[in-house]
Amino acid sequence: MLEISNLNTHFPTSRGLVKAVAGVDFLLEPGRIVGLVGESGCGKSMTLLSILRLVPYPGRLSGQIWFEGRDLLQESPAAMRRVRGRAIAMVFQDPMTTLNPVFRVGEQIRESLRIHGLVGRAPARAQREMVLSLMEEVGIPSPSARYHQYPHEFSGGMQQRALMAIALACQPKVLLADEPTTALDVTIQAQILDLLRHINRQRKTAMVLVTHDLAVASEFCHEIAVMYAGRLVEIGPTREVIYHPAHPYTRGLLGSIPRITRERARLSPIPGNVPDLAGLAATCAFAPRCAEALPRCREEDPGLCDAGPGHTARCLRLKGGG
Amino acid sequence: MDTVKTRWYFLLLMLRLSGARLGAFLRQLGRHPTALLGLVVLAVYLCAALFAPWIAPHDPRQGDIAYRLEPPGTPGFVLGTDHVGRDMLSRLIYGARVSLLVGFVSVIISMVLGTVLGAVAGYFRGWFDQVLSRFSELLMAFPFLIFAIGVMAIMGPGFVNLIGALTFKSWVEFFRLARGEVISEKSREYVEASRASGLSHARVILSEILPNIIHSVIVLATLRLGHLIITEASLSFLGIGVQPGVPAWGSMVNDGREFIFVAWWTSTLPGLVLIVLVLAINLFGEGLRDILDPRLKLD
Amino acid sequence: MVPLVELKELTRFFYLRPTLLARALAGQRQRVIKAVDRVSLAIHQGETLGLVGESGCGKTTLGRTLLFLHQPTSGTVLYRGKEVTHATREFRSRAQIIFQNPYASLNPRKKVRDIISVPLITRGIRDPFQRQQEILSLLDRVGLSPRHIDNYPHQFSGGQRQRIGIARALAMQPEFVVADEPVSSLDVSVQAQIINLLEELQQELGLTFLFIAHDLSVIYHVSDRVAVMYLGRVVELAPTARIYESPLHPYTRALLSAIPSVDPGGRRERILLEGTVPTPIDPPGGCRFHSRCFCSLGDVCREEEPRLATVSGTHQVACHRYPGE
Repeated sequence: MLEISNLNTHFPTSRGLVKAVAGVDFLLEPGRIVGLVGESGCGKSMTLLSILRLVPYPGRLSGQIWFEGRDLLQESPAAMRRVRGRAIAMVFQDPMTTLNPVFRVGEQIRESLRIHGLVGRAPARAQREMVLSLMEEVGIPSPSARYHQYPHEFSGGMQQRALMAIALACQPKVLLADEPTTALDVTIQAQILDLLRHINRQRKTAMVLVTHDLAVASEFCHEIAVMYAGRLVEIGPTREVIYHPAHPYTRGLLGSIPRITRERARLSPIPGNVPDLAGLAATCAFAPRCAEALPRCREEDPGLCDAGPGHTARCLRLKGGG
Repeated sequence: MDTVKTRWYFLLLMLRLSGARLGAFLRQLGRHPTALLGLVVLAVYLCAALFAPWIAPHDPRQGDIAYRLEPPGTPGFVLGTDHVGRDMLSRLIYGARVSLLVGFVSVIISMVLGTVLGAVAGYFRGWFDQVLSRFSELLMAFPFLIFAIGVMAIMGPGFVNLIGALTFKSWVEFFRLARGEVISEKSREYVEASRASGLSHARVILSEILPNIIHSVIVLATLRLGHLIITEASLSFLGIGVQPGVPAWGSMVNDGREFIFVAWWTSTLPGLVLIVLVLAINLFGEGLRDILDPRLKLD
Repeated sequence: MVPLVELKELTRFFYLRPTLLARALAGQRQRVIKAVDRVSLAIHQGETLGLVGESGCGKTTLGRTLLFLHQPTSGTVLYRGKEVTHATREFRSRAQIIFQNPYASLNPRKKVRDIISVPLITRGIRDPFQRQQEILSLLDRVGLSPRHIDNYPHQFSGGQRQRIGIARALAMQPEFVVADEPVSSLDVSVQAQIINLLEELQQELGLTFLFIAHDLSVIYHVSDRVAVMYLGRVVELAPTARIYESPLHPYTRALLSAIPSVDPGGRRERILLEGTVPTPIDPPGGCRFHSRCFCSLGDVCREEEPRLATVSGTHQVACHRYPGE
């Protein structure tokens, strides 16, 4: 469905070239949910923006993004506009700032339909009906009353649902969700994730879910891709990545998460800090903080190495005998 | 450590600190050529005003009728003379004293008064805030110049009255600015943290909040300075500014009105000098705003 | 054993007073935000009491009110059995706070040295040289290098700023610390570092913590006992293991079921609550949770507010299903 090949997003800055996304490859199959996991600054949000070519100035994209037989990075701006919101839709993190505060919610959902030509000459009533059925599908209670309300009259969870209605209005094949539940309370988060799961099953929409919460990714995604310093360091089926993490960073992340289990073991955090992305060398970015680093790690660039069925990781230790 | 030594140590420390800050500041200024230009021009005016007795070629009040209305370029009178034979250059230099003195003093008093009242009102709210806010709104409803004219007409001309009239209306701007900034800063967590560490309200305002709002206040002061100088000139033009006889640009413009067709320099030169000064101040103020503000967006 | 800190019916309301004009023209009444409503808790020396709840439940307000950063509307705070009516210097030196937002809780215009000097001066250390020694030792204790002493907050990462905040709180040499979501704004790996640091400090200095958070996994990890808040009231209070294994209050059960778990084995049957988290403005009568409750008993829940009652030993619940003693 969506194949990303050697995606690079570079920002020239006064401190050097910042490779916000460096050599990312992954495959999104129809109906699957891939989780893009990492801490702040690792490039996960930028990857989503790159797919839709919404990268802010002065970012430069290179690589290939294959979608429906075309490379999105080669498409004209007009063609991209037809893709955005229609074939590939995006949901952002903070619904309060993403919804326009001066327009009614129903109007904003209808706008999405209008822009993508899905209502044509249909009379106003028919358009309204379409919006109401969308609102029902995403679980907004009393849609006919809520249609006329403004975003600030909605709670956080409902705003997020409204955003999803806008995103789903045009029946996209792919949904990109950038931390959709981070700003929400945990009970609301459960509701929203449930909704996303429902959409995935009903409409067979493929999804990329960006989150910093490994637990959310573990529960919700079919596959997990871990990012660090702009690179994809591990990718594989969820169970594989969680139970047999191949990359030391993934292991470190799993070790630093407090878990609700019988024994309360001491957390083992990853020492040090995330590196400055400006002018990073092509060698392993995690080496300075890695407890298992070899001298080779600072000299060579580990490619994606095999770590199991459908499971790869960017670590030299996996390349035959360490 | 005896107190004298402590004081010297403290002074040196202040100088070093301000020196370091000054260095960084000047470097920043270097990136804003217009602001730098404004500052240089302002400095020139300040020096002229400061050293007036030494640089002015003639006594600004003494006029020689024999040389009345001489054009610029006349030997001995670089910028010409006015209708009673007084040297224009000397009068302009001494006029700078008036403008700058009145301007700076008014701005500083307004700044201090307005900021203190605004900070207290914004921090404590309640009836104090309500009363002062309403009063300030009342004052703001008056057009500045009319108000100043009214005050000066009643009080009569003179330095002190002039400064009083200007200050009385200007402090309101600082009050509103300081109040707004304090209200927004007060809810920030670092203020709560300082209270939790045991600071009294007064110390919180002085040592925590004030350093964070001072940049806006300074920028406002710089921008208001130009406005106040023009107002002073306007009042002197109308004859209700400084005492008659004291050389001031406004009154010079007024004096030269009758002779504008025969001796353009008597009215035009003071006006020009005024424009250049205010322009310089504004350029510097704008540049200052740019320098101080983005530095604040430090995250 | 006298508890270190005891709250009795502590209440903090915020009154929204409409202006004269609004009242006259639009008939707006005064509204009350019942942020904290008659909360009674006892915190014992050396323990970590976890306070958990979603947004609007009042946990942050509770933390600040008990330290008198907000003046309580009513109720009492007892420290070592003695009533505290307002923040005296002595109280401030015993009870301190660590804030959530490492970006907002440090004065951006002050150096680290000056930020930490404030509590030291309150403590009475006048000599600058002695203060410097204290500051250096505090920085060392929280894991920061001494060369940072003259840096400004913006030069540090989030985790480092949080360490500065911790150093500041420790500067008063407190016995009791309210940690208001100290790790919520941090990345996962930094979170773990700070949690470990707080645990070490607790061991080393014998501190007592009120640990406020919304992340239930973090609460599970750090707390000895857990109090769950909903709309200004404590709805359940029990030792950590008990509350996670056998939660009684319907809200607690829903909350626990909603936590995503990394380990697929550790997942519960998800209880999805209807509706949204209501606001504490003019809450309805009766049990505050009844409008979203999935096992409400009907009339009694709608009309009568349940008290926090002891169900067994150390487990307390405020629910009509468990009347207790």
